[in-house]
Amino acid sequence: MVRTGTGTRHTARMSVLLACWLLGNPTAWGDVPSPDVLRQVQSKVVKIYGAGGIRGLEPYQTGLLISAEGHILTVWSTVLDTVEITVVLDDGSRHSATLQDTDVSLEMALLKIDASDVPYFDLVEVAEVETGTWVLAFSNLFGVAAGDEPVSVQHGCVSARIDLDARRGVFSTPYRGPVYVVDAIVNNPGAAGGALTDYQGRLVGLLGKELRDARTSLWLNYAIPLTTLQPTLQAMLEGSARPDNPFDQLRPAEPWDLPQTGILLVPDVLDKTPPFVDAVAPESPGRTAGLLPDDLIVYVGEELVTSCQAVRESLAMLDARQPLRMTVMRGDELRQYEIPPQAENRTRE
Amino acid sequence: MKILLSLLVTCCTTATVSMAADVLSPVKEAEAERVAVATRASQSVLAVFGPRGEGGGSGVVISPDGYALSNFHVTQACGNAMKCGMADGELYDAVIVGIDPTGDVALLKLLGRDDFPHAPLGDSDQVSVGDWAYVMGNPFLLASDFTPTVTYGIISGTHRYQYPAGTILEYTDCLQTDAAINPGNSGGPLFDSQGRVIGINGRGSFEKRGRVNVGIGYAISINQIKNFLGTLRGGRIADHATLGARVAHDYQGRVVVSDILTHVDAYRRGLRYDDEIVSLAGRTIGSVNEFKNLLGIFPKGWRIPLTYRRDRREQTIHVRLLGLHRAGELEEMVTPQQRQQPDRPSEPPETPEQPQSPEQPEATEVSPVMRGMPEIVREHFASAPGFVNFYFNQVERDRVFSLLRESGAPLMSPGAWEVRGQADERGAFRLLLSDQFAEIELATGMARIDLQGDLMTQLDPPRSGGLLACLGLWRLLHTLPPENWGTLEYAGTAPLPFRSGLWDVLIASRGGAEIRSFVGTEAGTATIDALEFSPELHVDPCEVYLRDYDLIDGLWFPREMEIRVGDEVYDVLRIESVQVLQP
Amino acid sequence: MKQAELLSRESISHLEIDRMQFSPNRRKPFEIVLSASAMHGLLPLLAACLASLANPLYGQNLTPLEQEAIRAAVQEADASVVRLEPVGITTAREGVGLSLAPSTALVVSAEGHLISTTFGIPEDAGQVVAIFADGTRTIAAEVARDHSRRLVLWKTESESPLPVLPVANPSEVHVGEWAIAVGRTYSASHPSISVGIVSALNRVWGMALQTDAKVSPVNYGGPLLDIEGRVLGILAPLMPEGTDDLDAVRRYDAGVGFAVPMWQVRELLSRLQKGEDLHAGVLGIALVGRNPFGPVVIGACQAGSPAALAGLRQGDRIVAAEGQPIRFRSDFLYQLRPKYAGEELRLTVEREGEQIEIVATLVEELPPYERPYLGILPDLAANVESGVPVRYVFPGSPAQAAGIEPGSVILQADGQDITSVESLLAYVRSQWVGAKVTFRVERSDAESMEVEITLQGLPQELSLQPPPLLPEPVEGEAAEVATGRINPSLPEHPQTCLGYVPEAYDPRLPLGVMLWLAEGTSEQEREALLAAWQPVCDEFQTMLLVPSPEDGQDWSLEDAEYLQKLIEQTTQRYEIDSRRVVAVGSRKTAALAFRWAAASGGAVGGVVLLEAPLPATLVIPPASPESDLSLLLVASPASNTARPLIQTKQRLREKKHPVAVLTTRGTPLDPEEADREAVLRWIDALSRI
Repeated sequence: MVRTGTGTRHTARMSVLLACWLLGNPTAWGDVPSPDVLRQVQSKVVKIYGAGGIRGLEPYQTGLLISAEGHILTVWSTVLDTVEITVVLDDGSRHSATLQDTDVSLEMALLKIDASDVPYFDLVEVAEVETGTWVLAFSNLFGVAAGDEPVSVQHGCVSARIDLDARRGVFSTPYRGPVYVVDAIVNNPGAAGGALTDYQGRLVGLLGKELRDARTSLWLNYAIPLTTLQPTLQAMLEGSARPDNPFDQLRPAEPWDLPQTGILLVPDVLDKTPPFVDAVAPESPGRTAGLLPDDLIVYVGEELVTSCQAVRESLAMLDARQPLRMTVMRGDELRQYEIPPQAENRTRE
Repeated sequence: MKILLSLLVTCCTTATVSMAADVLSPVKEAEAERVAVATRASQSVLAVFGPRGEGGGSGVVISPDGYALSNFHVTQACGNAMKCGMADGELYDAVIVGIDPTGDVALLKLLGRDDFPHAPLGDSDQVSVGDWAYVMGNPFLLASDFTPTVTYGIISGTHRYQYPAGTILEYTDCLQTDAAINPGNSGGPLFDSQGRVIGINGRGSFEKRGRVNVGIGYAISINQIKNFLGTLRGGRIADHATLGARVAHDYQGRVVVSDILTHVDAYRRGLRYDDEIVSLAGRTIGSVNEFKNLLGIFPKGWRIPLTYRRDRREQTIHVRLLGLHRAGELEEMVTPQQRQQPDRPSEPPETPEQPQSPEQPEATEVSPVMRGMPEIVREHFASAPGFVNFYFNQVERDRVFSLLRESGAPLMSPGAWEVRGQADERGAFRLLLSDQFAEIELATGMARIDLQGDLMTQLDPPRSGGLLACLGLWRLLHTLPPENWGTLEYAGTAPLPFRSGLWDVLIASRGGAEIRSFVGTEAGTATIDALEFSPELHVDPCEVYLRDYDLIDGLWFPREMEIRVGDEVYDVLRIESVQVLQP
Repeated sequence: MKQAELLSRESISHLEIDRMQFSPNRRKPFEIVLSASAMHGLLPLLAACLASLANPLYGQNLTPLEQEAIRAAVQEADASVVRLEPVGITTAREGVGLSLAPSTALVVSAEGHLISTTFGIPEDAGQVVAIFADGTRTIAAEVARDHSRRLVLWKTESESPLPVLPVANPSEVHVGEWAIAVGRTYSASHPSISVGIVSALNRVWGMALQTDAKVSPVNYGGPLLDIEGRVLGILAPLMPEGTDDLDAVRRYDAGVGFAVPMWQVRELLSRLQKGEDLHAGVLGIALVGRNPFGPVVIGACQAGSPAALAGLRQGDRIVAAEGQPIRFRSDFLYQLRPKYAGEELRLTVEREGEQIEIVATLVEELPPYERPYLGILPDLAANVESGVPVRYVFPGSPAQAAGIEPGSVILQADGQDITSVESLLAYVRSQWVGAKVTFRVERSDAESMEVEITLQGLPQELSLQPPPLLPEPVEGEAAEVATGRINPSLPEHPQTCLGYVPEAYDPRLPLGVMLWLAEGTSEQEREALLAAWQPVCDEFQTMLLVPSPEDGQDWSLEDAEYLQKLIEQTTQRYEIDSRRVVAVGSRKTAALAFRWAAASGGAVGGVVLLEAPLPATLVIPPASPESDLSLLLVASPASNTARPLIQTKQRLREKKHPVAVLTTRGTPLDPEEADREAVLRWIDALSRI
């Protein structure tokens, strides 16, 4: 919608702006991070001391009180790999904690101290936020706060909301669900298990362990959304059966594969043979869709593929009951083709 | 429900076009205000370099005549003469004035102007977590045109403690911020949202990713620096304080004295093993860390209030703080290569608390320390043992003396003083002070001492801790010009018990004893408000508090002198008449 | 009313109407809660909206307004921010496969031109796909590349015209205003945001704005926006002293990020659109001394360089460039660095009191610089008012052929008085191999002679015959500074360092320095190292420093700053001949020793590699008048690294660095006495001219 005059552009932009403002976060007009909101949140964040102690494996992390009786939500890590876990509350009181439950695929752990009416995050109160929302991160990074000293606060904004792509070894973590990427460096030694909140102090995310993108070796700054942890956490608290992890990349019951498409790739001789199409069986779904020999397959669905092996892996992840989109390069032109689902009327060979 | 929704949306957008501008204008207004504060504040920020442009750090100018703050570990690498670039693109010569190695603070002075852009000092005790703050300086030495880098963030924590970690730099009671602090930012200012200096950035937790910021940085609090500013202006090597006692948590978690030396002031004031520390300098103490954190912000030699509790009775005392390091130990650590010139007579072994006698360095002879210095810097530098830059000690001493001279002019004449009045305990008194002797007649008897002799042993009148010697020296401070004293130095600023504010302190030594005079300098007039005469170390000094200055017989003189030794009041003299006798 | 009010606040926070509209299919855990109170929640929202119509500013609270302004700016820019995915096979850069991560680009013309950075997309990256916000994918063809500002111009074909964002007006950009960094590498559909402020203008010699928003490969190539959505610049990995991308990238997310100003990019478009690759312009001069605030005087003009061809001469003082006054080195670099090869640089220089205007046409690359060599060792200890006394003449050197003997004094070169060792060195270095120079020399029998000498290149196999030992320094004042065993330390660096200063140190005879990067050695081993080398250090007036890395075990690039500060502190305390400052590296520390020495701007004169070839991935900069680096490869005859060592020697000589090889009898790591003496003799010879 290219507009020429800046005048019209300006008002158009403004109305878009106002629309979002009115509809976006109508109650977000609470005040800037007021000192009492900060104190309130800090009072619900605890310092956890346990195993570890050599460089890179600091013996401390952070935790969140989530019930008046002293349930503490934190991240599953080596720090909890010990019998005596000590928890220091915001008022400086020291408690020994027991590990009640863990969920490795969500990298989540539940501790318990015996206490009564301690301040806590009310799980009903958790909020979901969009990209661009200003957030605060509360944690005991580098173990700076000791005794009754309040935990540290960092400011930032939600940079993006992505799915942790652990499958292709980009992030070496069992957790594969959505994360809030934050534009402040919130994952430091000791910060894991800290709180990500919005400017009204409502709990938004749990700060994860330090994670590095294996491809670009960049550190990732992120928090796991509470809305994702909430069902399993509720189950842990009530001791009921746990819902299965919605983000396990289970292979679809009826995955796509090359034979269904009639496409034959070039022999896979190199360690990374580029996925050129060797032949397309006549009257096969691939041919009717428009694929030709010597096409170079570039995308299978949304997945960039750079080898025959990658094509097969990506196909195995896609549900045959959905149409298959493939993008190929022919000469120096990019072409997109769609192969209709074959699953219902597949003839058994 | 859908219809209602669409109605809602249309009614909002149609009536809102005119308002859209209103939404952005407050944002632009706030941004413009921030730009104004950042632009104004950045005018006072320094890029600090060594004399030949090597190394590099940051600083901030805090007075129009060019006094500026930076980090000790920045100026230490640059040496005594520095080059400082400012946002106006100019490069100025600067000279080191004073340093506080343990607190990692340095005071320098830019030369060549008396109208430097400078930043006001804020109050770091008013800073709270969540406040917005600016970090300004020269990270990665990017300021090739000397304009500082400005980064913006919030205060992440206050009253933090940072261990020395292998260096001598200890950050106590410091501020923590998530505004980006990187190598090169050291020594630069942390501004609050109004552009007042609330800290000096000096450190970050760099272990994780090498020398790169990871969202955490520390700044020395400006209130701690204010405590040391007087000592630094005096060209000295400031030292931090210890109580002479150790504290620990007892089994109930209370903070108690776990060990105390018997020769220290705290012991003399009554503090004993197992007393519970309740508050220090007005701040309640909840943990050992908090005690160490708070004690770390005070200079050696200050007297601060301490409240302790023993079997449920609370007691408040004013304790003189000892130095954290042996005398001269800091100097060795700091200036290994600038040892005194070989021809200087070897110094007598120095007893703690006893300042050496710095001779007047010959201005002509150029010591190797000053060889590479530009002319303008050499004019503002003088080296002497125990000092970083003795030149500025003389500047401060002369400033206080000239103020004293202006407000007490008639007393400056050489004649002896005859003072009469009533003493609360000892009835009518006649006091006679001359250059040679000091004499007092009291209802209980007469005492006289020889001011030219050894003052360490003439402590009359009895149990006064050396009142006559104290008053004798007090008179000599008016009549004897500074050059004629053995040593007469500016010692920085210090508080007085039960009163707020800071006093300039002069230390004079004569006849083997030492007298500290606390000079109040509000509104340009100077009055000596207190004297402390210590005949020897680790003994309660004779304290004289001079109050209610007034015109008595045409002379500007205190009406009341309260004399205390240790915890008892010796007597209170009420002055009725003063006469300067012709010689 | 309390209950209702609480509830309404409660329900509104869950309602989030916009969320329901835009992503209906995602199953939300709070579904049940919503529907029950949905109707109930709407009414209070309606009331709030109507209230807002009446009082437009809703109290002074800024956060939501600023949040929304930022979101709107990014939403406006969304369609112009494109994701680039290299589709070709990973390519090798010196044998190392760089896996190609996605990067970001910005639309700069309605016809489909995009600008991105060179980071992550090497020249031979093969096909690159551009993915637009609405998901369409097209091939992006590289049009041209700007190697100086690290930008790439791409052309894509699209049916409808692409949206081009408005550019901020440079006069309205202020330090402290909002700056929003936008990238598109996390997901093709949603942009990533980082919010900061403008930290400084005119950085990287005027080629960059600085921001404290988090800039990293996640958003390199994307736009830096102001609060109204206008483009301030293109986010790029720029560093004033960075030699290549890797240096700049190491400081990602540190709150110090750069963007090439958009108004500068717009001016470049016309040249780039013509398919013309742009390279930084090179002048070919070395400035005197290392003090950035000293006078800007030309120390050497490389033969065949634009400077030499334009008539610049060694000793000229630059007083103006492009009409701007030049006070310091940085003023000069602000005028030179932004220029491209082929452009002119107008200079005003002062020579013998008069001002000369000179115009030089900058080039992309200089002819390889080969250092001219006279073949003498100056006597550093002798105090002579002017001229350079000769301590030793290398056999087979041009000086020897011309009959110069030890003890004679070189007074003039081509009629110019030689006042010091530095001035003779600068004059010779400004010549070229094959140049004829007439020297006036006063022989030891006080008779003076004129002799013309043709300078040669440095002999590769430096003769290691023993020049006479250094003369005994005259007994004088005892040195004031510590000699013998020392432990220098830096206040803000935890690293420790053992050191030895020759007992007979005399400030009038500058010391050489061996900085030994011992790897993983214990305290005793470092003590043994000191003890072993002490005698030869005394003999050759050379200081030995054995620092330990920060974590006590392995050296890393982070220690380079500590090493630089250690040398600076040592140069302050002792008289040091910087050309005889040598970094000694073994297997694991060879790369760090070389990389630090090359980047030390002349503070280090040589590198000794003990049985340690340089890694293949290490970029070896070409020799230049500034970096006067000589290398000594120490290897045992039987050592199995012969082949890689020969390869290292080849690569160093290709870049015209003088390399000598010492074959030791003992093992290189703890050589025998004779070998240690040979190493020290090589270091002693580094002050050759």
